[in-house]
Amino acid sequence: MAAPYLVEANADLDHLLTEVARTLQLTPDQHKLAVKHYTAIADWLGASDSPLARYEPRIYPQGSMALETTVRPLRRDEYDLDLVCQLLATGRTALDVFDLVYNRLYSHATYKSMIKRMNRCVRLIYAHDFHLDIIPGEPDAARGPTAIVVPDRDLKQWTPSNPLGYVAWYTDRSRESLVALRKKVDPVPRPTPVEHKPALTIAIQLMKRRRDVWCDAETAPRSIVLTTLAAENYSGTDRVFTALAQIVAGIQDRVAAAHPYRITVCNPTNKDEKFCESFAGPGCYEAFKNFINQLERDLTRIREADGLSEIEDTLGDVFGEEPVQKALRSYTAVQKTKRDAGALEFTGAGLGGLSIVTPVSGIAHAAPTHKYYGATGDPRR
Amino acid sequence: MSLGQQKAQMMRVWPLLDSRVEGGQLVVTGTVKPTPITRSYRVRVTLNDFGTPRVYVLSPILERRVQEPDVPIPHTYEYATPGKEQPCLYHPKSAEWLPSMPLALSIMPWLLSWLLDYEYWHATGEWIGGGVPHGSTKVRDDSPSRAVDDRA
Repeated sequence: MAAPYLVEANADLDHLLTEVARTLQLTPDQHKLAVKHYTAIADWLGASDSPLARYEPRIYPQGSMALETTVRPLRRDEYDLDLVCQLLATGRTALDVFDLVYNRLYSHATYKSMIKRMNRCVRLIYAHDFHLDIIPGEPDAARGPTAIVVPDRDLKQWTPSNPLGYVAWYTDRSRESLVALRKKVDPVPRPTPVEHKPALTIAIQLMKRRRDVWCDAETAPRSIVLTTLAAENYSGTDRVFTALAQIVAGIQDRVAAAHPYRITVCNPTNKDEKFCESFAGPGCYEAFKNFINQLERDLTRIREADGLSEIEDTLGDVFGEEPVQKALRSYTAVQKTKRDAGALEFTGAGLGGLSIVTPVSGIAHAAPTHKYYGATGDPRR
Repeated sequence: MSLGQQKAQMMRVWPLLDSRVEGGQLVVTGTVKPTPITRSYRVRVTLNDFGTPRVYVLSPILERRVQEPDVPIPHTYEYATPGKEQPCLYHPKSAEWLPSMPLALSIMPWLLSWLLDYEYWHATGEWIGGGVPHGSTKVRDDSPSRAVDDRA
């Protein structure tokens, strides 16, 4: 069983982790593109002359786009946007409602060639590593004001869901303000810059990246499972590193307590929506446990890295080299910028220290500007 | 500032370093850690009556990059002699350091900065701390520092 980390990680390390996360965000262009596609589909589904019009479709995002936990794909993997097309109660069967939405999309000249039936959504596959899943739904008032039911084609029936409830729950867990929550509901929100994202969100993005780097694609844990477990085990900290440590320790405890059975992971706002069904696939639960244990080892290595070279090696192994190089560079560049401006503070207390991100503890002084002297490096240059 | 005054100031600002005057020199020895994510370094700084500070990194010793063993450590004295390199913290012809300046508030933080830039250079091969090449009579910042060494 993992011991929870009692020591707060330092702000400089957290800054590096946040900078790594920065490189994982969707680019502004990718985000714009997603919004463009989303809006076009919402307009088509909701058009006043659409066969769906009588059911007053309400369109809203779910999943990582709604939570801002999207991570840029590694290699060729596609990234996706989930949107819910919630209709008024139609009185029709689940499969009928699925077809209703499918047919509306199919009847569009462009979407016709991109369309694919999935088990619980209609997928539109765009040319540039991007797909959009439209999830039909109807209200499920018995389970709650935001609860819905979604057609499941394999089961030939409705299954419970609650995407809006999930977003509200996640926002509360991540300690974001309600203003931020309103931003997340219709339409797709403007992207929040990474430095304003809650520590929980950055931690989840890093976990997803680590999963993409380390896990086999076939058995890799689903994002909704990781996100839910992370939010459940996060116990409130501003430090990304500490959040990761809390999450990993919490998941390990739960896995151990459930043994020899598997843990349950469901939508906290709709217990009948079981995300853990993805553990049923061959090798999937094993892969999930292995991933969590690997994360623990990763965190230990990061914590024990001594100096920039070791940190670069370690973070590079864990998250990939490119994000780490950028992060380290910007960190070291901050020092020079501050120094040149005469704004670099230092202390001589304890082991001394420069204030790059973490304010110095102890009496602070401003370092006078100066320029190094001497050979610049390669005499061949 | 007299050596005695320099020592007193050092002890006030850097209380955990060992500061003493011996043989006409102020000798400051101890461990510093430039930022929470760098290594710690045992360093020695000496200041003599003529007001010339010398800076030594005792451990871990400064090292060239494994990937490029022929490339000397940037911005050091004795750069051609591995194991003997000393950080160059300022241009002797500039007025950046004068014997009237407190060591504790100039050389010491410059040393921390230098160590951070050194670690970054060691990890990546790039020196982004700026600086002026040897042999240059101009005190001009050439950062990011990839300028040709005038003396080479």
